[in-house]
Amino acid sequence: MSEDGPEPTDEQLLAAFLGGDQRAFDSLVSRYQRRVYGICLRYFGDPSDAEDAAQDAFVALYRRAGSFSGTAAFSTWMYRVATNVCHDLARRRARRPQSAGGDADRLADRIPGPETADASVTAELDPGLVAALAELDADTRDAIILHDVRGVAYADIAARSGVAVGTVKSRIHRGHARLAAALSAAGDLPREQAGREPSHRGQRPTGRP
Amino acid sequence: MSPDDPPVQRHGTLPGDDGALLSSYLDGELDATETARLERRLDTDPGLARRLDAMADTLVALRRLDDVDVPHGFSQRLDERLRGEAGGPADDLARRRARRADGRRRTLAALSGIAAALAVLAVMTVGGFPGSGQDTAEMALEADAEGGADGADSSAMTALGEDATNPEADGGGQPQQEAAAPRPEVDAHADATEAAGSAETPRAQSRGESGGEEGGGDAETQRPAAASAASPPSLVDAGLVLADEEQLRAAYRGLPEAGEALGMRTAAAQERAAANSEVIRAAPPLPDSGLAPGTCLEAVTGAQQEEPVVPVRVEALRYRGQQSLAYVLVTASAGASALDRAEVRVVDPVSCVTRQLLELPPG
Repeated sequence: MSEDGPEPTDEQLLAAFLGGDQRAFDSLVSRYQRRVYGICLRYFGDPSDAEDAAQDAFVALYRRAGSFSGTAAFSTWMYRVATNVCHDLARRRARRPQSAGGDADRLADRIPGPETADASVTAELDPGLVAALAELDADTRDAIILHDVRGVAYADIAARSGVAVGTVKSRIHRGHARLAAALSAAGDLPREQAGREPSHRGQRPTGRP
Repeated sequence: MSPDDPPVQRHGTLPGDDGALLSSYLDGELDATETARLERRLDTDPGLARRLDAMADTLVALRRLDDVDVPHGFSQRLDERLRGEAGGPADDLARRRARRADGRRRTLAALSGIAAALAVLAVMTVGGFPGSGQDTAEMALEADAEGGADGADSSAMTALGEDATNPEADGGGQPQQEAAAPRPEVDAHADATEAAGSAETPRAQSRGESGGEEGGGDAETQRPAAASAASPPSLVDAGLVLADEEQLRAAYRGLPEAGEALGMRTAAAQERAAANSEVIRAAPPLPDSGLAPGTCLEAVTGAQQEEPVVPVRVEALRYRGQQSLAYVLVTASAGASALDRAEVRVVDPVSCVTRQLLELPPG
């Protein structure tokens, strides 16, 4: 890829890699390693397992980059690849994934009460996201903050809240939908905030084998 | 996100509640049927796909996944792991091309030999003109020696289902030597299926063009014989290339493995499901495609499903131009006491996204 000019999109890097450009693969790794490792760390709660899974995800990308269909953005596809790799590794090792933060006792100590959850995290999040969170009802907001930001398992949130696990999941998934809609409507998508080139849907990699 | 959590309530599947559905999808909480249904919609609804991207971006920001520092030496360790992977997709493509060319040479040599033998036989059958017969055989042999196989090349390509526009369509032309190489855990009939699977494509295509109903038996008859009652799942890597749903249906109709499992009582089916799954999980990558049969097993069998799901066949293939894994699953309808349904699920071998789900007719 050229050193000059605008930063190539993910899809352009993928196409270059499929055409034999090893540096394009390195660029994708560089671009996504924090995110993929973050997904895996959040899944396992253990740095060693998380690294193994993250490496598996990039090996999968290396071997099967040609299977990317372009239906969704590359970043979305990579999110799914990482999630599936985590599920697969957990199954192979018959290891129960933990919430980020370690064992349940320590975790319980770290869970903020719902009334304090907002204050404890708002400083850590993007202002646009905080504004969107503020629009949610309190139960949904607390569930999202505990699960997504703090990494608390659904079951722990359910036990603490006194509601069924399914209710917690429902609140969280519906909350995600409302957050995504609010951020999209505000033109405040995290991808753009991060300075990453928006995906070019429909631009399938041309070097596909 | 923990697999130990119970499945998400089905609120996410209600019409008009796509956002929750997308969130569940990204975290791998949908079962195989819901996943397939959603992915079909994503393929045809760009607006929904955009919402999926927005959802993924939101989750990344919310979970601050980009804020995590990777462990020191992560890239070096990844490089070490990839060192044995040759040059990635480009090298893989070159390897496949070389192998396919080798396979073509062997196929053409075999076809030329057959043509020569047939020519001799024809002359002997009509019982005359020995001199001419000699000439004919010599001509055939000369054609072989000269590599006069341009015509044979194209007919061999057609017969083997080669897709000239698809450089990676292996078309079943793998060399005999490779086919005979040790394939631990891979069902021995994979090689037999290789020829059958490759030859199915043009027949399926002609059926599609004529719109005829019969002819599906072609695929059936060329499948290997039914597995025995105690047979393990078939693990097949035969270069099967299928262009569309119709060809998929024809290729997988009447599979003996599925027929053998249908009717099995659910209690026995649970044991068979566990045993077959274990074999599939433990199987090494398939020799040609390099795909591990167990890659998407959990995704397609649905870990939280109560009814037994017996995987009876896993096959690497190209479907709609994309490398894929096909899982043939036999299961029971809700409340049924015996296995009564068979389906083939074609998935992306990396993301395990379902590309095609087809219910297979019994028998």
